[in-house]
Amino acid sequence: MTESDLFLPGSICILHSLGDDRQVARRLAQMGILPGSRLRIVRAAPLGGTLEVASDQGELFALRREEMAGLDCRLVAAPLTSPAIRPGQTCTVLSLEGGRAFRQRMTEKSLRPGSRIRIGEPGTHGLLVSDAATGATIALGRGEAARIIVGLTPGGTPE
Amino acid sequence: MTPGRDGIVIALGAIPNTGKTTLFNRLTGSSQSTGNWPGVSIERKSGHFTLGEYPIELVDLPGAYSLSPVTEEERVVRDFFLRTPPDLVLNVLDARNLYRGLGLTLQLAMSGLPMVVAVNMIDEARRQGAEPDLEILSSHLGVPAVAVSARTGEGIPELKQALYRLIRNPVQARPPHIACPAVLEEAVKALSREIERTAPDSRFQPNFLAMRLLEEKGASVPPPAPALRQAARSWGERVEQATGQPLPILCAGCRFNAARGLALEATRRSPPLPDRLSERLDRILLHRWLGLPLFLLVMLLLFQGIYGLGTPLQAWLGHWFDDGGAWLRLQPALTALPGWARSFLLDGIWQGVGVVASFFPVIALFFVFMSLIEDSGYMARAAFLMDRLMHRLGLDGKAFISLLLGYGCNVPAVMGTRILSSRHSRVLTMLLIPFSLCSARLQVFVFLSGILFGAALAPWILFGLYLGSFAAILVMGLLLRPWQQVLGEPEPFIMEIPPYRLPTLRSIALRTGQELKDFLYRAATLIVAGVILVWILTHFPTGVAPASAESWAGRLGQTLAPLFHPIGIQWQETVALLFGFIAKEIVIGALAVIYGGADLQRQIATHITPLQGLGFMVFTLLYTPCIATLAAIRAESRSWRITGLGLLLGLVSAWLASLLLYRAGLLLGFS
Ligand SMILES: Nc1nc2c(ncn2[C@@H]2O[C@H](COP(=O)(O)OP(=O)(O)OP(=O)(O)O)[C@@H](O)[C@H]2O)c(=O)[nH]1
Repeated sequence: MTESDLFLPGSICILHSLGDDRQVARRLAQMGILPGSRLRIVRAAPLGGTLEVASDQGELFALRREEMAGLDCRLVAAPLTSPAIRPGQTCTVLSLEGGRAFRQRMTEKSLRPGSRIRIGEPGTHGLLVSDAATGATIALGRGEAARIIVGLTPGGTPE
Repeated sequence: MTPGRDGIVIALGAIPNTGKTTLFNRLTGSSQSTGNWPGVSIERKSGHFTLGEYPIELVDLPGAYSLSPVTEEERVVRDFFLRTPPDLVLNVLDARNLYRGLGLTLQLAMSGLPMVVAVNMIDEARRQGAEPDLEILSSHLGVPAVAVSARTGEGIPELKQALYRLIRNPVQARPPHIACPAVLEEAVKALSREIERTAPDSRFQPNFLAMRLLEEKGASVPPPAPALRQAARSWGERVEQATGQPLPILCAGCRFNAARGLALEATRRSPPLPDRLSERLDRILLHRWLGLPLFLLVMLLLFQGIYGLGTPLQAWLGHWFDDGGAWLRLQPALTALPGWARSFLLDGIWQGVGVVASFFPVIALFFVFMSLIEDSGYMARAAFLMDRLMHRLGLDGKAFISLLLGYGCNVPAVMGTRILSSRHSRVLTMLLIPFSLCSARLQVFVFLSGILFGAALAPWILFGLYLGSFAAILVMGLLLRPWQQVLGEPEPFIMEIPPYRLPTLRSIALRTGQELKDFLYRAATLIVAGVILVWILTHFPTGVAPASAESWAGRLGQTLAPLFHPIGIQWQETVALLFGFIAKEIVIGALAVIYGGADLQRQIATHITPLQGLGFMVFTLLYTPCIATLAAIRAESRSWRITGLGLLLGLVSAWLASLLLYRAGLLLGFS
């Protein structure tokens, strides 16, 4: 796992520092992207390598993965497929990134923003999680897991 | 204020994507002139209008995020502001997202120059229900703020009023104060005392200059006195040590802290709403699987739109000029002239003008479609989709579109490199475009491969040539990578993705008209001169048959024979290649003239072997951009060095590639 694998679409991170005094750092600073800004990875380009990032001030910009990895941006939320999330941890669902049909399907599995879940072992096709309150097991496909965003502590591990 | 030689100079400064160009067009109409900033290839646009009794010169500055430059464009903006401060500054903000632009606005306001802020796109902000409170904005910034929509024209009279009032009655601006960490404030205070002592009559506020000195570590313009620079350095080190942050980032931090507060107060809402329509469209247009096929579809439409319509028009214009030439030849006024003079007028000047005119349709269509793609917001998406591929060549994603469109015609493609964000990408792309197999080259290849290889094999030869052209671009791109100093420094790739918008007819028409005018002014002379040069070479000394062995061109061809013999090209074809410099498709016609006789196809088949023909085609593909492309490269790069490099790269790579092909072919027993 490299640093840049952490920036999966749907992840949110908080900028702690812009890294060294490089051109990229200056450019971001002059666009108003400064320590304390919240950045959300909107999507990755189909060929990879380039990310679309939204700042909390409503700016939308494209940035290469290696530049993103050079920033000290600490994850506070990530999709369930993120390597930052390990089996056995408990976390809170923050949002479901999908259309109405997807949200409906998740509600049927009793997953909604605010649900607390325990991460199980990754299976061959997806991921098993369990409801932290009831212990009921929920099976998720990989595609579904990628669209479920859960909160992390500022250190990058689930709360 | 009293107007200078060009009237009152108003500088239009803003961050990218605020509608600055639209506002510029709105204020100046079509009374614009373009030139370039001293020493760089960045376009300098200015326009004129009047405010009451005052003639105004409005200077459109390149988009810049700050006066502390990261890009070459920003360096131009800084130098202009600090070396030749304008009488008045017109700053543009995007009403839907004040925060983005306020960093620059605050910096400009702190300078103390008289200033008006145009809060643009008020129509869109109103539609989103997020109209900012301009009184709050204006009172915090200490300068007038006016709501406008450059697109609809709303608020423009009020903006002109505000500018007029400020010119009539230049009240001392009340520069805003922004809060900074204590050591930084201390440093600014100390340095501004020093500045006040040494340069008390500057038009700039001393603490603005002090902040600039700190931010640029003493390397500001105009260069400060050594003592001041030394003081700035040592204060800078102290501040950086105390705060643990680099100064440029620290200073930007102070400004944007103030900007966040101000934006929040003026809009009573934070953060700005995302654009729902754009989100929805992006979900499809940037989709993981659909994004690329849709992009290719858009490119196909773009290509068809430009060349499907443009090429027939180009051919039609070409015929018109040929027919016109034939008609002129019979006119009594011309038949009375000596033969060489008639030939000079018709085969030199008339043909040169014909070449210039034949580019009009494709250039016009090119910029109509390019404006559509750019103004709609799709350009940034296309760049995002293709970025990975282009990054390998040291380019960003937008370069893909320029390169692709070169396959139709190199000339507008080179002009279109202006969409690229850095000089580095622009120059690199315009050096790569001439290796694309444009439609003029295609005509030559279709003709020759049909004769030499027969109908069954010809399509494969063409396919191979296309592959060769892709490979040439790739190899050249990789070869040029280490040449960074010549090409300009690569700039960080951070590209803003604007919301989708409906392009307006007005801006498309203005842009297209401007580009045609530019092409005429900047490239036409060079093209006509090139055509006349070829005419002289092929028609002199007087009395010889044009392009014959005795003409200068023929002699040149024979002199160059030792160079061309190893690649299997005879002197007659060398002369034809010389003609191809005017426009590649002329090569065929030139061969007909040079070989003489009626049946060109048989002539070619007997004079040229298939292997030689292949070598000749590869040479034609690569050897040199045509004169119009060279003229466009010269006009865009404003550098003879780059233009010469373009010529040289072509000739050398063509010779090497043909040599390799021809010799390998001979070794393998082909002939
Ligand atoms: N709705 C609306 N759209 C506008 C307005 N002004 C400009 N636009 C649109 O905003 C887009 C960008 O405008 P430009 O004038 O090219 O912006 P710019 O700041 O010059 O951008 P760069 O050339 O990238 O620096 C265009 O599609 C315009 O049609 C406005 O007042 N209202």
